Amino acid sequence: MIKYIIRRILSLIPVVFAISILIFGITKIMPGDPIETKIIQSKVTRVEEKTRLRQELTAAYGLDKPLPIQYIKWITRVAKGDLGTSTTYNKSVVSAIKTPLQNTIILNVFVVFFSLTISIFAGIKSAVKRGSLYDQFWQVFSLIGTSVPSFFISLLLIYVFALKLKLLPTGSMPSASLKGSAYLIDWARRLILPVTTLTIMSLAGTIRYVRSAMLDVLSQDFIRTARAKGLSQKVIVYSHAFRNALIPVVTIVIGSIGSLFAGSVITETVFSWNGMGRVLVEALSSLDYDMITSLNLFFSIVYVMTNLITDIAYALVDPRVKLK
Amino acid sequence: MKKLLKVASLSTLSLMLVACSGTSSSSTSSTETKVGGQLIVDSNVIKGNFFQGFGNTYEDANVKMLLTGKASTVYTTGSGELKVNSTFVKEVTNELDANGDTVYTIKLNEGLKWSDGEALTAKDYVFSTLLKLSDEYAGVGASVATDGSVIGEDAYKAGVLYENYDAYVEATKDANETLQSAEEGSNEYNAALEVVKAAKEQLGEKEGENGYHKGLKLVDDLTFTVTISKDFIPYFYDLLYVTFEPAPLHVLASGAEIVSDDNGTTLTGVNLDDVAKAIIAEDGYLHKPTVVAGPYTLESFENNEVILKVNPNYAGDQDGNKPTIETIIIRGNTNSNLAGERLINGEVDIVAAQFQADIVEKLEEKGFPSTKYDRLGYGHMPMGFTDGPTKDVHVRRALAHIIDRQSLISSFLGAGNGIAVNAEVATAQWMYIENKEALSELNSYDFSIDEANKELDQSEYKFQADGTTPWVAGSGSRYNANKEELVIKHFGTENNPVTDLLKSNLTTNGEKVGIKYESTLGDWNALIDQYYYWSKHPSEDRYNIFNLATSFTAIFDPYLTNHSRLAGTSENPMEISDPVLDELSEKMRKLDRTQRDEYSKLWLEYQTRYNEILPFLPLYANVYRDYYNGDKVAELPTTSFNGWVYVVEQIKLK
Repeated sequence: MIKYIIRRILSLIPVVFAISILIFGITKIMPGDPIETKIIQSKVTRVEEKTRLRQELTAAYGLDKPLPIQYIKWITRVAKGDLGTSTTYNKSVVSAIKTPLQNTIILNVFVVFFSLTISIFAGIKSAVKRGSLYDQFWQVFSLIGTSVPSFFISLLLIYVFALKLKLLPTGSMPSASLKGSAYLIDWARRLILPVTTLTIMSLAGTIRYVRSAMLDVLSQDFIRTARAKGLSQKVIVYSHAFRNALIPVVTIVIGSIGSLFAGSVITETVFSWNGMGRVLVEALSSLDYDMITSLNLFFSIVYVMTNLITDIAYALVDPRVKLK
Repeated sequence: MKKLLKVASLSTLSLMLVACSGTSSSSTSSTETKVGGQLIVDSNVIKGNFFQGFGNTYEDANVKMLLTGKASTVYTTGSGELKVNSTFVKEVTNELDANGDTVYTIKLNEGLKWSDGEALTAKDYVFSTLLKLSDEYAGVGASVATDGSVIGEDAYKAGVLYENYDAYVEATKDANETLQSAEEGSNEYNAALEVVKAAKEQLGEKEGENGYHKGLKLVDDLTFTVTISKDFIPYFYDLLYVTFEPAPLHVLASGAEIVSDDNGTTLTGVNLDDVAKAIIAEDGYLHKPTVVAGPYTLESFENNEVILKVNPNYAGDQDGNKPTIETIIIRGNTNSNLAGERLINGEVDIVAAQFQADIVEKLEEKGFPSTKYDRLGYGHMPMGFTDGPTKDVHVRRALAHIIDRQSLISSFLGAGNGIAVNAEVATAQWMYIENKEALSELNSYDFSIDEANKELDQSEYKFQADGTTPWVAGSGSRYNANKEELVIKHFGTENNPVTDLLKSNLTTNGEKVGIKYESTLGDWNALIDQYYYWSKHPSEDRYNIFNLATSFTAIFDPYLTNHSRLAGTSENPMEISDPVLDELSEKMRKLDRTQRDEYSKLWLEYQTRYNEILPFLPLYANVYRDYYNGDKVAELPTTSFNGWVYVVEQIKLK
């Protein structure tokens, strides 16, 4: 097992290396020039002053070197844990994303918790009660969740719970002006609508996934044998069927670890949630190179590692899967 | 020996700013004013760059203004005129020196304080300027625009002594030209950089030394001077030359001294490089300005929310007014479309600068009080002036006739929320107000297919495809004698209702006048690339028209934007080059500040010419409304020139 893990980690190095080149290259060919954008924003008008500013900014941001050298300097820096400096926030990328990353993780922990809990139980029950009203409800729910855009669900929730019932705020982050329990309550109130939106979006897919996996297992011979042995429905479903349906479910659970770090652009924007989605969009619109490249590389590594963990977890939940 | 000609003050330029009875207004009744309450203001996302030289978003600028911007020596009145801030400045005088340059002397009031109680002196104003213009500050990514008007400014920015500057310019002339044209990172570019570096090493400051600013002098704790080149005097907006903001020397460069000698003024005792690096550090002054001179101090900036507490040591606004609101919370939001909902739901107390029809209607319907004012800016459609079909004035004028601007305005802004303007004007400008009647006589370019066709018949595009048969309605596209089709290529930003309305107008009506219309949508970065660098794109790849909105300031100086000397730069990207406009813009700026009537007359001539040749098509001038919670806010006296941060001392809570 350990040999397998080491081999897999080593095999990931060229993958990450290739991804880093891709990310760096794509960022550099994006339309626009961050230095020129800064110059325009600075209101500098004279040609000679622009030339001087261009020199200073180009050197300050390390853009005065040929692209391969820029890449080597960047990847060396990143390997040492220095993600560079954000030209938008004028501070290190790590410092600039600290709070948004925390906010995104907090939001997604709730979303993952609710979506997995609901989808596992509802998915199992739907499969067991296939064709029932209960099953049909979740089928329709899944269809709606998949086909309705997240901004619509967000706005609908805001309309009902914030504007009509006046129970919750329309969005934004909790205010630092509040202290103690008032601050925690404010956090909770502001989390409800974005968590609900993202949970609905997430549930739509995962319920169908769990249901489908359970249906596959429930139709197999060993389940029929278990029934013939007179085992209770509870034992059949949870001890026999669900354990065997775990492989696809494990994929969802571990995959959700990766999503903990990724922001949802639309939902965060609608609810003015200060998360990673917003930061990435702003970085793209302001050509904040270090922010774009470093974050994309970070997310890529998270997803690559997630896949690795998924593979290992497969072996743990299903001895039939051999690690070679 | 240099003989300083202490000539009599230029009478037309003398700036006598007298604080009432010789006392600072700051001494007025701070103890009588009751301070309390909390105000929550809606805002777009705040980036957290709260010091000079970094970032210039509107949201960050608002915070900067509340922290120290209001300690500026000059302010803008509610009607858009520059005045000396008599709360901070006792007087500004000027005289000619031996070279014929003008020396402005700025004398501060006594008793000014920073928020930590330390004295606010002339040193802080001089230090602020030395810092922001230094090559050390630029070296950490700061950018500050100057116009070369101050003697020694360019040499100081370049990091060389004033006496060496001409030699430095000569030594780097070719290299700078290369840096303009060569691609960044190329061998040619890097070689040129080396030349500049070598020249600086030879002629510039030595490693670890701070530079000398020739035109800036510290006279005493309350007085400093700035010398303006004779080439820049007179100037209608000359108060810009004496606009300074302080920076706390005792905080940012503790132990440093400002020394003025024959070389100019420099900072001793600290290395500006270290100062600059400390400012941009994670907890540096840029992000956490701990000591300020404005009405509010920064309590926290977290999660897109700025909390400000009243500064008890603030001297007051230009009239000595001090804020009465104890806490101001500025809440940054990403969804500006929900600003109205946030006010309705009681989450914020003020939503400023609203103009979109749906939000305005909703808030009016709910009965929210508002302060309404003309926006200091306008929406327009820039057109290529020197290339493509729009280089022909008749084509530009024809395009104006096929856009139904009245209908566009009512769709975009709602009835009564905007008007069509016909020149480069904002309806809030005092020049506009004074010349309103004359402006109404200008060509209004009403929507008319017939007029558009008449214009096009006078252009080179008056033929059918064969290049000889005169074009008639229904015969398809127009062509010129070279059989080139009249194609108008438009670039607009995505999710922009004005872009959509223009597309609709130009598609439908273009066909009726023989214009083949093509549109492309893109994001803001693509627009910057296509518009601001229009000249750099090959002719065949250029777009002919764009749509943008521009905000003005109190300074209307088209010499800095529309003059032919700037054609092809990002200031004048569409290459407006008209000798009449050039001449008028030169004349306008070369007036003395007191020649208001002459300026107004020239401004009208300028706008009349603009209206005739129509380099850009003005689309709309709209109104803004600052809505507020009437149960909490008693007064919000904002104007076109002064948003809520500028009148924060006058905002009263119930």
